Amino acid sequence: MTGLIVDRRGVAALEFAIVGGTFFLLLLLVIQFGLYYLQVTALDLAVQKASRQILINQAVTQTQFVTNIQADSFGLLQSQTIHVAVQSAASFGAITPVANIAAGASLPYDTGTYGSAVLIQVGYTGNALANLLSQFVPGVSSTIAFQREPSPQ
Amino acid sequence: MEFGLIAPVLLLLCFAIVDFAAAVRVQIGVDQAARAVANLIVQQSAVTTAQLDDFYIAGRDCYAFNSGTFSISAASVTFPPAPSGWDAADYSGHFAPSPGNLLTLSAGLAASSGGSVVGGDSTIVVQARSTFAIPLAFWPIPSSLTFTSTEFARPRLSFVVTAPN
Amino acid sequence: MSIIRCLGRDRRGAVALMTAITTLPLVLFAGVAIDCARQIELYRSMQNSADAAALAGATLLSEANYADDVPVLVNAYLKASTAGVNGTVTLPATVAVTADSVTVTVSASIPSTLLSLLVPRLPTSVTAVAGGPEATITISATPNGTNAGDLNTLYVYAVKPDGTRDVSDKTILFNNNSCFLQACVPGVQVFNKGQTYSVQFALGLGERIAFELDNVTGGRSSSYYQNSPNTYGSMPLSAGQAASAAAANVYYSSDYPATLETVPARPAAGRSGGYSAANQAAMVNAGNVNFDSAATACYVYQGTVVPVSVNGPPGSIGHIGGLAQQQNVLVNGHCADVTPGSSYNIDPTCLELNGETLNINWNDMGNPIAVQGSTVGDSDRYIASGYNTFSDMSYSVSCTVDPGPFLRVVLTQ
Repeated sequence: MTGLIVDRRGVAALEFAIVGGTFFLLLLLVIQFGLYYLQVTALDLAVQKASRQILINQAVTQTQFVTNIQADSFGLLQSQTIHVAVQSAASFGAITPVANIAAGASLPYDTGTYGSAVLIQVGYTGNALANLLSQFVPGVSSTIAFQREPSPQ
Repeated sequence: MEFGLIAPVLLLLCFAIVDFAAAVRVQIGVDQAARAVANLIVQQSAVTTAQLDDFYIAGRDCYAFNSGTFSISAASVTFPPAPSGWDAADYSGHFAPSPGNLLTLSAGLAASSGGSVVGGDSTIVVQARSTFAIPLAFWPIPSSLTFTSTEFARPRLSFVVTAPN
Repeated sequence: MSIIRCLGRDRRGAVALMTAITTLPLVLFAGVAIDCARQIELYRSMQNSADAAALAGATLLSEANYADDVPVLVNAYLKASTAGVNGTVTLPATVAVTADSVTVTVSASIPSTLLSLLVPRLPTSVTAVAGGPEATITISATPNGTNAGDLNTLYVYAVKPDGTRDVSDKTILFNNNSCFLQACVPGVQVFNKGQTYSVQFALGLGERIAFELDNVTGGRSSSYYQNSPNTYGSMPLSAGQAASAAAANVYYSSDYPATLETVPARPAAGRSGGYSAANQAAMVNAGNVNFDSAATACYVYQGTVVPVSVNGPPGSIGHIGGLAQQQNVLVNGHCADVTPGSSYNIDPTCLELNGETLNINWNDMGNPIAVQGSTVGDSDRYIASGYNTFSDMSYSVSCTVDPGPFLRVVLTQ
């Protein structure tokens, strides 16, 4: 009988450990999801705003673009992990999107000219949820497409 | 023993959160696609079929996910004279959809209440749709979901954006 | 034995109690997570709808009846784009409209799920502000410049909403280096006197139109009034005096009152200068006077605007201690001001201009106020018929907003 009581206590503790562990995992996931969601939304807004500079034919360098995005992201994104690829052509059909924006290899930066079709892809590699569960959760990224305004004359 | 029932439920919740993150990201992708196409169309005073197809490519690039089916459609809706305002039946041109999903305009438009939009005024409606496979789909989490985004935008250069058709 | 059984029963109860204690917070926690996520998603889609509605409203700002039409349009867009919300959207939304902005504030709420016992509904409220439209101004210029000696070059630039000059992308309009009078200078934009020329200049949100006049005394004629020490003109070359480099003076229409200048000491001999009270009385055209103080006097005599000199003898309107502020630009035949909405506003925004045409005339101030022996005027004469003092640069300006080539509307919040 004493042995049974001991067993029962042990089982309860084990079950509590499993549930507690899952509970802790859930807690962690919820926090990470919140961060993921905020970062995706912030990136969406920041990229829209930064892209407008190119749309109205202002000169913007790649580093300036990254700085602008980081500045508009409410402190949620760090510059060193923001990757930007800008491509342009006469039409969107002539542009092939960069397959893996997080690859970090030299990304194209061509803002085109007046009236060009422009495709901007921005990826952020600093999110833990997306990095650890990359098979299930898409990366924090934002893609925007627009046409640059025609020339003034 | 009771704890044994809770652990799987908690695990299911974990899966649901991961799936929700993916779903949110896909929804944003669909929104970006519709927004991009709408903004491209309203900056023209007239569009050709080739231009529209090119804009749809732009939308597809914004969606940026390989899995799932993706489609975009656009329409120009012109309003009758006051005071009827918005009416789902009044659209002057339905742009060629790609690759074949028709817009469900009636779901998005309804007669305005109070005041009326100026007759002859028009809007561009763009609808992007995607069916996305859910990564961690265990009952009761569904195996795939359809995401839709409808974007309304007002032409910038003229009252109506005309198209061949 | 019975004691052990009692203990066992206690433990079983403890397990059930522990279960109850831990599952309730878990359900609550899951409820918070799910309903928070739903509320954030509602916020995101509402923000999207508000943005689209504000942009649509901003495209209507160029129309005459925008104050009434914009809220109706905004609400129509909101109603359409929030049709898919599984809850209640408060319509009509609050729409604040100014001449160049549309502010939309809308709220919505959805029913909660797991938390429905604690918090029945999840509310949210979003705001979107759109500005615009940005515009392009069209300037039709007719170079004039009766002064054959001075080179006058005119530029258009923008004044930012905070009042600072932005000459970084100023655009040349024309100069008066007419090919009729002398050889055209290669590489310099040359326009024929009397020929109308149009240029377009892009204006940003809230930016004002402004003009820069660069005057080079004697810039077109090597012998004409080369010694030009100050804005108010130069002395004619004395016999045997070598010509020195022509002085350049720049005027900005956004500097109001235009041309704050400190007049340096002049040679006393022969410089009576200024307008005595008697002269002024003689010059004033009854009913056509427009000055509020000696510092900004600008009045018209026989159709010619008479500026104020600073060299007047004590007691005259011109004598204000060596400091003068003078308008050297006319708008629609009147002394310029910078009052928003005024017909004589030299620095309007495009919407203030509202499709009207500004006719602008500059006095390049390139000549002496007084010459030896005379009491008033000289080549840039202020009085006497036949002289067009303010025709050194003449042109007209209009502004295209709807439907201009660039009807930009932008979200500012």
